Amino acid sequence: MNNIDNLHSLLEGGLTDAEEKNLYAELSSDSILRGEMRNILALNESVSSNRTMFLTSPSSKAAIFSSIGLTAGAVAPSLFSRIVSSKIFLSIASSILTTIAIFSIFNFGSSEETVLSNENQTPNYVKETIELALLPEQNFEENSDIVAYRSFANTSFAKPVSFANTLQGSGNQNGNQVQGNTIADKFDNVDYVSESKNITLNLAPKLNYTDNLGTLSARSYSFENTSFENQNNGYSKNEFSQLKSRFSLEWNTSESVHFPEERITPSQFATFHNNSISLLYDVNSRLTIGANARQETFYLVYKGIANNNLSTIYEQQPNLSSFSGLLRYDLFEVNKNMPYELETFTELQLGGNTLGPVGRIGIGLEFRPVRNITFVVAGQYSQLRFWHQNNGFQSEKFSLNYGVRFGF
Amino acid sequence: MSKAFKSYTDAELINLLSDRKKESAAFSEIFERYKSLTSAYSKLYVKDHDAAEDIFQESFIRLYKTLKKKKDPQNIPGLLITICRNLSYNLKRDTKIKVAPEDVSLISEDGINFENKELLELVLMAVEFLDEKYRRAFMLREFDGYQHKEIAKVEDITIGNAKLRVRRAKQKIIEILQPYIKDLEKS
Repeated sequence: MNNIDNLHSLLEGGLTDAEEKNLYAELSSDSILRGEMRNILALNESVSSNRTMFLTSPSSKAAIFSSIGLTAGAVAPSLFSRIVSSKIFLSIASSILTTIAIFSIFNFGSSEETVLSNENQTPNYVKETIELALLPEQNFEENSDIVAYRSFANTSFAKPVSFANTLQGSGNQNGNQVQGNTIADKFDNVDYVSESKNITLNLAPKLNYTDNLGTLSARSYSFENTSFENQNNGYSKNEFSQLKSRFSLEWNTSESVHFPEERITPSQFATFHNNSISLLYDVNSRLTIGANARQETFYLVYKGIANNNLSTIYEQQPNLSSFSGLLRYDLFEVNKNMPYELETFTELQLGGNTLGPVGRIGIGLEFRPVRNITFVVAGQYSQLRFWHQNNGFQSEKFSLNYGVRFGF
Repeated sequence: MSKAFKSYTDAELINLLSDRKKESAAFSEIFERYKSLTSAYSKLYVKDHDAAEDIFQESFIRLYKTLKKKKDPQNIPGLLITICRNLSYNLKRDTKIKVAPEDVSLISEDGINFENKELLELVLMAVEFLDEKYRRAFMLREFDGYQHKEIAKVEDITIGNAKLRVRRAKQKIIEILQPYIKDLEKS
């Protein structure tokens, strides 16, 4: 650091004792350095002793902008945007979202309850010769004790497995027509042989049943298949709800059109502008509730009396953090366990931000390419109600929202 | 997401004045950058607070009209000081003060050392000759009272860089004012 920089550091209190001592020694012997010191002191003194001259009146800006027909309003960044603009929060949020995305992509269908019987595990002859008849004692749609159905045919999807409390079947044994019942209660080894009826039934791994009457031979019996030919059979919503969490996280971004058309924009858009995140809970197969947090702007046009008693029209587009409760209803009932399903929904959101209440209504589509990931697109109308000088005003916009929903 | 207006250069802000959607925000940023400089200059020679306020406001109004008319980039602080100085001279020229001898003490200098005031005016004028990044750092530090870490945050630089820019600005001002400072030392 040269001596000039040392002079500045001395005046700012940034030198150690040893450095100060050296600098004073230099000053005592260097007249040019002393002259520089006087110049810096004079400059600092001329400004700092007249600091009040630099102060401006808050109403000055409004008066200037009013004269030239511009809007001076500027809204301080919201608490939410100040929080999320911090680098620590951004790092944490991106880590969480990445983790959720990776978990959802690579972990679907791996839970114990949804392990598939695949072609490698299931002997071909089982598929060829067994047409399992699962004739439940009770209606699966209503029986919440039954675990799930399993499909041998298609291994592409995580289809849950269920087995009836009682299996009934008929077939030929040594040329005789045989009928029997068996009770399935838990998963176990593949083969089961009945001593009494010499029936062997080879099934996929994790499927087992005890047979009070005897085993059923795969080679001997043919079972009426009421379950697996129809891939939709057995996918009751109760089963679905038992097998996976009903919670999901949805992230959306949006493009908005304001009414009236915006004439000004914020000097700086908040971080996560036009992004929202929702925590959703599937109450049943058609109804979903949740909570939504969104960073957005509304274009405000309102009238008031300014400080100079002039009637003034204000125009602003502040950054706002809005929080809402939401209700989503599927217009048509579909099987949520099936992939490639396209669902149509309507949505209602009620909430608010620092300016006032916000209501939204929308209609959208969901497309589920794989089980725990859903792509969402929706059109949405939003209205903000706000007040200025005891007069109420409203701001409206139409948004196209699109995003991804991750199931837990 | 839009670039923050604080990071725009003066020339970029002037260009944005032709965009109807962004001109309010752009001129707002220009106002925030140079309000302290203009306020100090308007009060240098106009004692009356209301008159100084009028000159301050009129300076920015005329600045806006000038920037809208002329498309090429302008030296904003230079323009402001010129406008402000001319308005001050016009006001003094048009104002005739009749003072009774016994009231002389009421209109005496209000505590501002003459040399200090003159140096302040020179400093304000020298500011326009600084490179933009040094000028902004100097004004934030000396006119608006920002700490170095606050300057670093506004300008998106390190604290060390903020300190360096303020120092370089002061050195440049001293260099510009060298002949005048010598005269002041002699008097």
